[in-house]
Amino acid sequence: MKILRWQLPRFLAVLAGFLMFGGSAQAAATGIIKGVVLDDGGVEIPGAVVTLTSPALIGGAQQRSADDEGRFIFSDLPPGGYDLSAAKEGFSTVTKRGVPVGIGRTVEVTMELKYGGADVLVVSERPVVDTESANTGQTFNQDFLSRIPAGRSYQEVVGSTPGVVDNGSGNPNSMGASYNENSIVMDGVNITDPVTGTFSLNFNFDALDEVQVTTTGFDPEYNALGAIIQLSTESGGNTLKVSTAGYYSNGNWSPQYDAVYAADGTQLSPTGFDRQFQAAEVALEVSGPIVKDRVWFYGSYNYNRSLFTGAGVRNPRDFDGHYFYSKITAQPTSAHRVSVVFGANPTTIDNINQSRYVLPDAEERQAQGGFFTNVKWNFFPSNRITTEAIASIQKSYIDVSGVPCTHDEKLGYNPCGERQAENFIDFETPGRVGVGGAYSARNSGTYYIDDRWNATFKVKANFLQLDLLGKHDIKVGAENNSTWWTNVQGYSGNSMYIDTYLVPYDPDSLASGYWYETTGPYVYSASGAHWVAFAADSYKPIENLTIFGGLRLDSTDIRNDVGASILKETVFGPRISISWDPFADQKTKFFGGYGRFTDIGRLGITRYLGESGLGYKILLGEPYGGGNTSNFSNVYTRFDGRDAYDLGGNLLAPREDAFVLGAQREVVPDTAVGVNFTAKFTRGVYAFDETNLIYDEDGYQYIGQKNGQLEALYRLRTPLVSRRDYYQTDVQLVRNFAERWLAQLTYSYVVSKGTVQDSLGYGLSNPSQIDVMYGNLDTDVRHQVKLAAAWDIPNDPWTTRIGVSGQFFSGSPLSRYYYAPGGAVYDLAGDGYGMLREPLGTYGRNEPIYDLAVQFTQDLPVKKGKLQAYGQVENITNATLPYGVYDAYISYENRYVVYGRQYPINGTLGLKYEF
Amino acid sequence: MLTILIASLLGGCGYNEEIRETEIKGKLVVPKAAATRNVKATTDPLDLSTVPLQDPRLLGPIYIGAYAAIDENSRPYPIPFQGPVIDGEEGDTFPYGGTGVGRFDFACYKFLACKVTTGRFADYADMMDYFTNVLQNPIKDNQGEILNSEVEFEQQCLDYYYEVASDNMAFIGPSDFKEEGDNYVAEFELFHTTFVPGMAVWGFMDAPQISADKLDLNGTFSTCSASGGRTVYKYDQTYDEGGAYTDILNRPTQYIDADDWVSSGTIVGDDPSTEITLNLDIPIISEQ
Repeated sequence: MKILRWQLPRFLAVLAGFLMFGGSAQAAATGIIKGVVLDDGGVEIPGAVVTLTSPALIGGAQQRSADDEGRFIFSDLPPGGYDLSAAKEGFSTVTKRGVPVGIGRTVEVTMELKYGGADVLVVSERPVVDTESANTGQTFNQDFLSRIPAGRSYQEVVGSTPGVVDNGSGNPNSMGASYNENSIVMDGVNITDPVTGTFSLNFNFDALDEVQVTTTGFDPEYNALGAIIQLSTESGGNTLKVSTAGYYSNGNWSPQYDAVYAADGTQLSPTGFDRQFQAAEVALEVSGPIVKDRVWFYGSYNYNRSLFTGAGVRNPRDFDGHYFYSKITAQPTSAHRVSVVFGANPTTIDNINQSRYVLPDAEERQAQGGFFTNVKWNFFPSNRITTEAIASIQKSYIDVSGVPCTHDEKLGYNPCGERQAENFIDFETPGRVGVGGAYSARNSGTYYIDDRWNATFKVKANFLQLDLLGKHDIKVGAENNSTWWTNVQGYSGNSMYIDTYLVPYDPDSLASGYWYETTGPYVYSASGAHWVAFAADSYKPIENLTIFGGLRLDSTDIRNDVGASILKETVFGPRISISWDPFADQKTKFFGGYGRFTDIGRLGITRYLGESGLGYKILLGEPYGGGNTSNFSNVYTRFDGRDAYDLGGNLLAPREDAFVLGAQREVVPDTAVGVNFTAKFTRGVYAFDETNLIYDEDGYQYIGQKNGQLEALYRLRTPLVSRRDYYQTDVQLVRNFAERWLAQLTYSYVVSKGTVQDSLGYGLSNPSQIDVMYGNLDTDVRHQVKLAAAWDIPNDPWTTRIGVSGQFFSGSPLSRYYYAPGGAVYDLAGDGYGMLREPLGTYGRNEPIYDLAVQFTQDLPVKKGKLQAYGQVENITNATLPYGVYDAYISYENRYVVYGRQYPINGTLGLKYEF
Repeated sequence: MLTILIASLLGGCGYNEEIRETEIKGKLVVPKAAATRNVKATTDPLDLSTVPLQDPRLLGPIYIGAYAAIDENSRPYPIPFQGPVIDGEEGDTFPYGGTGVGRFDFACYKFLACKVTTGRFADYADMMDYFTNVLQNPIKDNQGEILNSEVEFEQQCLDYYYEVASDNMAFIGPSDFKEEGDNYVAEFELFHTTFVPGMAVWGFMDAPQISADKLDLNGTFSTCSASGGRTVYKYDQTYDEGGAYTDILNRPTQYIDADDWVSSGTIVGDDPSTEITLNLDIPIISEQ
């Protein structure tokens, strides 16, 4: 160990000199407590014994001996409250209770011992201002999660972060970024879906210890164009604990309303409809010691069921999810800690189409879920060197087929035929679809089987408090991420009937127009390899100044089904930030930073350039029986992704340059105010352009084709003109939970200018057209207000808690996608979208969105354990964002039409018991 | 470190996408003679005499394409090189790109399908004047009655398009052209054109049909399909808005007829950023 102490600082000094800055050991999902032991005259006390204890700390109490400068450090600490005591012979013993530790946060503590004085027990300060960090975002700890009605899923909680817009899809937009550009990290493992870039699993809410959302973060260990969402999970403890809870939500009593808007945003008419919303959740947690202080276990099970019926639809979207999560953590010696995690989340969702034009026997089931497991090994060779190695593997799947049939007529789902067994899924009978969806069918007619694998191996090491013209905390690490994707899509019976209509939406007038026959299902696969190396130095040349520098190297290679590289690039991501505590009292900071972030690609991108295909032929039906042979033929034609799409020259991994500048000050204990400005410039956003069709002067009508065939040919590109510019100014008040209440209030002024909001949009986006062609810019709102407050009413022992959360968004601009009916001149591509190159006139904005929720929890007296009643009302204003702006469109009549709202006014009752 | 920082910052700036497509800008010169047509001299149905009238509203949509080369021999007028003739049908011309100056737009009444070109009419009254006094084929509403009020015209359009202001209508507004001596001049841009050094830009104008004896056909165009465009279902009526044919730049000779004007073409040099000038200089004279 002496050799290590001697050699490593020299090596690291060279490295630090190369980096120019020093580095902080901000470990994944853990935090740091460091500080100094002083006497009452302010003189350091070397050799003082500092002891750290906490129910969250496996391995028992940890002790450090203060160094020659009286300093000590504890690292790799799970989030929670810690008791810290310092003792030295001849001095009083001082104990600070409840020192708060959060993800990636370093807490600085000063322990002041009096010579010959009596022992002192004090409640720790709860520093609101993290004076060593320039990151922006928000941490949601247990104080927040248990008191604020922010939703019972991590996806919903994220939406409470300033600058984040919850679009209702579970994949929020963070600071102008697309919904599929967030990075989700659980206990240090990236669990972002490798194909879509969205969340890959639903998760037990009660198993979350802390959620940290970083909207702009400078730690090079992490990377995202959107938010970095870190989830820290429970590990158990030395006390056996059992907790069970049940919740029921109902929104059926909510006023029914929806709206149709004119192009200027004027509401034309309300359109009530008969939709319903119900949800239920059962949660069970068991945790405790296997070997006291050495081996802990934690297990959690959640059952989630929800029934949501869309406008005019008979059968509900029936969500049925089971979430399992378990973890075993062992610390056999003070130098080693090992944890093993296993989780699964099998789920079925019936009747996913929710269209009035889809008959019950043509509805579809989506089965989704998967499993994830990881092994993490922490090795602590000394108090100032920590290492971590993680190996993880995750499989997720999405399978879509017809809803299994049922003989239960009361249920109303896909009815079984007389000879069909219960839950039979028909993969043989061809489906029938017409304009507006399948409304004349015996089954859905299509199936989709999708498997995604993600294997990660990651190592890193932290070297803490190295001396070189100040103090350095250095972190270095590397990560390999391998992903695979297989996807099978097909038609039942390898055929699909396409019905034409005589009267729109009248099933009685349908007639078979033509049908496809295919040689078999479409099978596709892709893979990706992603290497990361990162180094960071948190350098404190003086006590109240932190200079953070880091460098990240991403090397990515994404390959399609024949192994061809679609995106292969190596990108540097430099990060630098400065945080200054001018009064050295941990109550004020001025901060600023710059970082480059990269979108290293998703396997979904390769799909458009795949070479797997299927043979198909079109057979003509009744309307064409009169000798109209059109261009159809009765021979099988091969179709693959590259028939319609191509790769345009070089692809650039989309990249973002982000700048942050701000100040924060703790004005009264536990309460801080701050202001910060963020600017993000993203270039090379994925876009398609169309290479074959020639438009007239304003892109409204096709007047020719380059290859002589009337077909749209798309090309995947990342032109620099495809961009997003985003500016956000926040004014924020934060009060941590203290003296029975907490509060957070943020006003954000946002200006967002973009070309394509979705990283893979379907809009045509020729360079000259990009300036005016973009998708729904969800985040292009001018004013945002986010509010959260909670109060524990002082009526002990039967504590009553009241929590409130609210959001306000000024309306987002109406989409400039133009929905065109099939067959229109400006929809010859047949994708349902026409386009205009030049916008005509001025387009309106959506109505502002108000969202208010109130939560009550009441402790009830029981002989043993703790019983808590729970009540919540969500969306009190009934103006929550519609379920995905994607469920709204500008019709060809230039009206903005919203299909439906996922979240009506919604009441929830619950009961939780633990012992 | 500093070197790496600067290099990585500049990395995106030097990115070469290796895309051959570019935008080619140009100036279109149309002689005023192209906007001069013989129109019926009087409103007397029996008097078929005509008088020449110069009016920029008589300029129809102009189609411009970038092609490999110009063929000056196959036809009495220059056309783009085209594929081999098979079964008597002319082959495709495969343009590298193209655009238009003026396009068909639906001006709210089915009577006007395929008769209205954008960038030609200042307002509703201007359009009514053109159809009534120049073409002598006054606009009729969807009940077949002659339209007499521009207020009614505007209201119909606001209702039809669910708009709240007429500046959202593409078929009225500023003119595409400016007068320069004996010519009308407009700017154009060939979007997203595959650039090949030495390629040619060529175009033609589809002039509206005008005659003294078939007044109900006055104002129609050969490049517009009356059965194209969006199909409108309005109460008991079903009709199409009309729209440009989709192969105009591939088979231009199918649409060029009497009174149209054709360009002799211009060559694009090695630098696609150099603005080109395209003269619409060859009139198509009726054989009669």
